[in-house]
Amino acid sequence: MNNLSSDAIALFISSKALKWVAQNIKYFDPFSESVIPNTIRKQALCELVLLFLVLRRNDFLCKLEASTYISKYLCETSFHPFFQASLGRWNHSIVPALYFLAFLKSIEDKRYPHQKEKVCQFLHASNSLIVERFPYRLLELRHAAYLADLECDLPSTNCLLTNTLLQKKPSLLFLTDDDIYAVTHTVFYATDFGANPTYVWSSNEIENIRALLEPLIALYIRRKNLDILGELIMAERCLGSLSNSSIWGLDLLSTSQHQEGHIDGPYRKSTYASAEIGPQIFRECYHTTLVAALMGAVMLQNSTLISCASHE
Amino acid sequence: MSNQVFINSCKWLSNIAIHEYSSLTLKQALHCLFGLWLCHIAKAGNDTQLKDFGEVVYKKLDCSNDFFYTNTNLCLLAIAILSEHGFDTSKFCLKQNKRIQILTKNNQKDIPLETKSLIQACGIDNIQMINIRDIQFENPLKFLLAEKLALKNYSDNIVVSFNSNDYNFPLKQEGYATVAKALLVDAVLDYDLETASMMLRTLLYFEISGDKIIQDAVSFFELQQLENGSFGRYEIDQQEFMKNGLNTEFDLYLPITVSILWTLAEVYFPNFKVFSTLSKRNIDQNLLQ
Repeated sequence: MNNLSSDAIALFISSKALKWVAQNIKYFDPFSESVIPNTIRKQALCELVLLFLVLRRNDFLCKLEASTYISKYLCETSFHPFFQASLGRWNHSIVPALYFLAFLKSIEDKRYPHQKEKVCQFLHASNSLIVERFPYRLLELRHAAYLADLECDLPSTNCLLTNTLLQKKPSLLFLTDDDIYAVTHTVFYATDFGANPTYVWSSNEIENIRALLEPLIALYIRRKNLDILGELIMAERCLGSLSNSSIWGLDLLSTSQHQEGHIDGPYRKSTYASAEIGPQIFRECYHTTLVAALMGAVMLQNSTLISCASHE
Repeated sequence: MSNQVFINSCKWLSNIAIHEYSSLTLKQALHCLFGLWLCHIAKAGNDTQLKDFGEVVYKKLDCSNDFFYTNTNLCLLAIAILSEHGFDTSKFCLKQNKRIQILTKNNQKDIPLETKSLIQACGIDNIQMINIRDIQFENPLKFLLAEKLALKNYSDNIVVSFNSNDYNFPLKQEGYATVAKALLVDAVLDYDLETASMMLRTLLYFEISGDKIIQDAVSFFELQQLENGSFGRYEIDQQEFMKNGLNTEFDLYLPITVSILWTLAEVYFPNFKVFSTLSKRNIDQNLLQ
């Protein structure tokens, strides 16, 4: 299978996943009545905005009917007073606020400058930049500020990287799911989701990271954890490569994707009462499905397939 | 550290060989003999002890009529070890002649590769040079997704084919080393030391001896040894295990310990490989005769 067909699979997965998201957008809404806990919906919404920040980098996925619909919903939600209110209450709410701000910038919304000023003032007046975070979470904050085009007093990406697990060359043998999450997210933020794969690492370092990722991709194919599998394939692609393991992984993701577009999360149960089916599927599948959609968006950033499709 | 692992295990195995020999099943005794032989290779055991226990195994083999059908490779391994230590194993060759004839007469391709190699190592049949070229290695993805029980066949096939002068496993074959690494990590995560050691043994053949995962895995195994010299598996419901008539120490810890010793022997002594060592020594002996 060559790169083109891998891209085609990624496009297929991503498009189906976006369709599912559009059809289930009500479950993402943290401001309506729902059986799904509010914290889950806020997290899901934050991931959805991030997906769209990357998705907007290519015209084809962005112009899909489902994408237009979701984009409109996100634009409406951006100005919900909740986000402004939450800034002063929870240190960690700064990242979603920055993502929404970046989203406004990406759609060239005229309210962006005003909103940026408010977030900027809060950022410097609060503890958001100094509270303790995992090293890769600090990278996330820095990356979110970069996307929103906001100046902040955080150390440089190179400096933040030094304390990450990935930079300390971990042993492949003892990585837990959480550790792999830390590794993949470090790659995402340090490369701006693949837009700049060689920004912080030398080619030698990139080779070492690839050597770590490839067997991990194989491992998660074997363990059938589609959530981490999608993240690992995406991380590899952020570094500009696609190994054999990734190609097998793409096949597995594609065959595991439901007709409706969602992909089972690692703790998915098989049976539910009919009334709980929608919310339960959302709870257990939204993250894996968003990861798959994001993986497709990252893979297709510089794809010849997308260039051709866009011209047509 | 290296030899200490063998010294520790040798004490445990010797204890079993001396005190439990009469109660051991044939399979348990075969594992114990193989373990003692590996300790002997690592110069942690003595020749007399191995020969004494060899007598026990010899008698047990002599009394068994169907062992070849149930523990073929282990029996062949024991016969090769006994033959190497001066035991007359020709009666086993005759005894099992029928079985071997069946194996060889039908279709050689159906005989697992490692069994062919061991048959050759034992010198108990005049099978011509194993035609390893016939072996088709399947897609590495099948190796990755194989059931635990089938993993052994994949692993043994790779190991044996590397040991053959007649066939060079495609070292650069895309994916095999990656898959073996993934399976090693998978087994370590499950604390399945037997599979993990088998995968490490397989990895040793991929010319990645300097790879960090090999050093990490060796350190990991060394640290898992219990004070009595054995290696185990602890999340298994021991009562359930015993309900099936099995003995935790001899049916679970013993095979795991022997598998790890086999792997560590091949790590510590790069020129030592079980299959090729046995084949070479017995072929040399046959030539001398």
